[in-house]
Amino acid sequence: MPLSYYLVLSALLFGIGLLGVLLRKNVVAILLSIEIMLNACNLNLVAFSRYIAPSDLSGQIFAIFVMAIAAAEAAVGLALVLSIYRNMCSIDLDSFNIFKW
Amino acid sequence: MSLALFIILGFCAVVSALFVVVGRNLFHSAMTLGAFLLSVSGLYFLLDADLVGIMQVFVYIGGVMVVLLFGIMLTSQIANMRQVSGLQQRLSSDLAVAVLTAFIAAILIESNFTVSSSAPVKNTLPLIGKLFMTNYVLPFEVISVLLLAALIGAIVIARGEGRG
Repeated sequence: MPLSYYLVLSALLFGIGLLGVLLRKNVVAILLSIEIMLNACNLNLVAFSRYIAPSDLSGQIFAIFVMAIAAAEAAVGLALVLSIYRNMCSIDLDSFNIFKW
Repeated sequence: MSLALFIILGFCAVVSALFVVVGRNLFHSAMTLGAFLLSVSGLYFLLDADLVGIMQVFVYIGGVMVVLLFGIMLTSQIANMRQVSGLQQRLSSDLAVAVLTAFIAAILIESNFTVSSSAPVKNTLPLIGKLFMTNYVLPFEVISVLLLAALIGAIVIARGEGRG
């Protein structure tokens, strides 16, 4: 199983997640697409760790750290969404323009 | 055998990611994200990363996906999703992302990585545990502080005003 198969798969998944971030208007859908991108990066890290330095395991440890950071970011992002929804009663991305002058 | 498993799991991952991205119903998108995370966990097991694979199931499916589902159900805008972007924005985004993905894939295919031929570690859990306590103890402690900060921040943000 060559390494490049896993790398192309992770690049494809990253592109799909990026498409979701750019095209969706619902904030929670954007958070879902960010999780897809983070998982693609994790897959890349673990594939490199397995094929280039199998006894080193630093890629897998890095992937566990990325997982923890993704969990923290999902929690804070959803807290923000809840707070905005409480104030504005909609989570359409086009109506979040209170910072526009 | 492993090639067949890789093709099946990769196909499941790509199809479920596509459904998450273009799905109309937000609840179905979140459930399909669970299927995506499960197929990525299968890919981790195929890469001999057993701790990462099982942590993926625990943390992502059991934690992140449940939190996202709570967020979806609390904001309750599942049905009326007028989330079609304009056609010009969709076409230009599709083109830009396709070009970027092809560029990244071309770079990764053309590079010569010196693939090591030694056998992978059979049981990664004891080795990762030891590495967390010796080589990587500083990022380990820092990430526990970060998780504490994120938890407190999420509670403060979501609690609302005027509660004393």
